[in-house]
Amino acid sequence: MLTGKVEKNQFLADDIFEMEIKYSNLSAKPGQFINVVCDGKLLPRPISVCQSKKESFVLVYKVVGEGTKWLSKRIKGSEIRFSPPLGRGFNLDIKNKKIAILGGGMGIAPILSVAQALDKADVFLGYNNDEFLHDKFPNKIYKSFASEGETVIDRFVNSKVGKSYDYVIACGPEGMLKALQQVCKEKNIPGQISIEQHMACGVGACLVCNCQTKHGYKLVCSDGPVFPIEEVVFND
Amino acid sequence: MTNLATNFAGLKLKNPVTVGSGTYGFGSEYKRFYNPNILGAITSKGMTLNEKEGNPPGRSIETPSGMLNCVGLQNPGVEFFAKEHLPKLKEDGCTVFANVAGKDVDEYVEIVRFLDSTEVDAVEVNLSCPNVAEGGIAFGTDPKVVEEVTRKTVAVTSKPIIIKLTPNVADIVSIAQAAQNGGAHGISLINTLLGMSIDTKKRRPVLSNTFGGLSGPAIKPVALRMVYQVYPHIDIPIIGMGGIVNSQDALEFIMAGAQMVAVGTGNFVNPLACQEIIEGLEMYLEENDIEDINQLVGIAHK
Ligand SMILES: Cc1cc2nc3c(=O)[nH]c(=O)nc-3n(C[C@H](O)[C@H](O)[C@H](O)COP(=O)(O)OP(=O)(O)OC[C@H]3O[C@@H](n4cnc5c(N)ncnc54)[C@H](O)[C@@H]3O)c2cc1C
Ligand SMILES: Cc1cc2nc3c(=O)[nH]c(=O)nc-3n(C[C@H](O)[C@H](O)[C@H](O)COP(=O)(O)O)c2cc1C
Ligand code: FES
Repeated sequence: MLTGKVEKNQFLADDIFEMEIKYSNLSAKPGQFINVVCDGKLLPRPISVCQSKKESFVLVYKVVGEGTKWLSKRIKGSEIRFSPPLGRGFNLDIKNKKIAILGGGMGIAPILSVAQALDKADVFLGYNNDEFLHDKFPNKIYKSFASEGETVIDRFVNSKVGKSYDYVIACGPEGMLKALQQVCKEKNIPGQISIEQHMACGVGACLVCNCQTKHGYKLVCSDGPVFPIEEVVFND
Repeated sequence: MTNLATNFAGLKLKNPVTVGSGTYGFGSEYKRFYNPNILGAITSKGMTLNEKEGNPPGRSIETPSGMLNCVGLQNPGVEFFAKEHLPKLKEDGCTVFANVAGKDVDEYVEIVRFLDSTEVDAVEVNLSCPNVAEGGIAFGTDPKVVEEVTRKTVAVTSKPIIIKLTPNVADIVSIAQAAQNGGAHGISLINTLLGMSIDTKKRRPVLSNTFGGLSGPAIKPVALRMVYQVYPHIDIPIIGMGGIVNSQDALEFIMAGAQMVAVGTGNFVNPLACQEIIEGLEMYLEENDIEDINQLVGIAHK
């Protein structure tokens, strides 16, 4: 396990926090995650690396239970223990395509570094209420708010530009990814999505994080968390 | 100089630490943290004769001081293991215990017979699987069946047979004695305890299989009690496991009567757990002026 010190831990919106951790050269690829040790919880919590800088990195997380609540209480100077970057990130070897990047809710965090690497791509952000991280994207941004009755998929489908993309990258709740998969199937658009599953080891040893794909079960921690959008089979 | 080396069922091992089957894959997954050949032995993921898909997603959930899993023995089949994984483990200099499971007695026998011709060092027979012939009751719950499976598997191999028992029984001592009577060279105690969890939002069981196996520190007192209970009643060595996350836990199992210890869920809690346990055992011996770890086995009974 690695150890870093909290540099910043601030409230962003809707129980969502941004934590900057001092640690040199974590060098996580966009889409990779780290396993964070949370005191009082047995298993570490997988959190995507939102931004990886030279002397620090940033996590953006939502408080949903005891582990993330503990994280939200860490103050500047506290020690945080974590694993090296895990999982396969996004394949960004797609630069000559017309790309749409979609993030829904907490799914906005993992796609920030993708969008920064692909600054020509357009970004669709789906918020519940208050916006966060929007000012960090160098791209053209389209926002939607669930509180106003519009999902990020509605926005993507209804926007005039929505018709002209030939590649998508997305992260968000299962329902959003499922809806996007349907849209992409109809329009024959390929892409990559990052998905979640409860984990234990994070390295492919325990087999608890399986997801159904067209080619049988795959492991979210080591085969993913990023998969081709057409490959994942969602439950009804 | 202190000695961590141990003799388990005729095998000379550099230390008494192994891993719980199913928590360490086939050895390569933890290579990014340390070289697996530092372990006394590696115990493989549980294997069946043919490839097994396992249960649908919804395979785990954390519980107070533990976790539930219902992986359902997902594995690539024993032949694939022998071809793809075993040679690499052997190249790395690992001692390998192959954990196996069958749907009936014949399948157990067939897998063990197959492994006899491979380079595995010992076979750990997991008797916690539902026995189809007995109407789905686990093999490990009936002393007669335990003795039969043990006798028939021992007969088809020259390798040591370690019988892994389920704790979901009323009298663990009689089951352990049945394994010994069948000719087992060692026993593993314990597998997971049957448990469940309910998602109150969805108002449904969390695990796709409804029930799952409870592991981790939550089960340590039960596991320790069983090792302590069984130790005076058998002459074959015990691998103790259930909630071991540090060297203190490991020492408790050794003092209760375990010749070896296995770290399962502890690997998920801290990927360096096994390495730190080996170092911790060494330090304990040094600090207490004990030459040989084997002097501590069962010492709590004296
Ligand atoms: C690859 C990956 C990347 C992730 N990246 C982020 C991120 O960047 N930001 C973020 O806020 N969250 C992220 N998550 C989800 C995060 O891991 C969970 O929110 C966290 O584990 C909850 O822990 P807790 O102790 O606070 O809650 P718990 O008390 O454990 O659980 C509270 C709720 O969270 C759910 N939950 C628990 N563990 C997970 C999990 N591993 N995945 C999904 N849901 C879970 C439970 O079902 C429960 O409903 C990611 C998950 C994965 C698998
Ligand atoms: C995810 C997981 C998978 C497991 N798979 C197997 C298996 O295939 N065969 C087996 O005999 N035991 C299996 N076990 C049981 C462990 O080897 C061990 O006996 C049990 O977890 C208790 O030890 P622990 O508390 O240290 O984890 C598994 C346990 C876990 C947590
Ligand atoms: S979390 Fe263990 S295999 Fe994915």
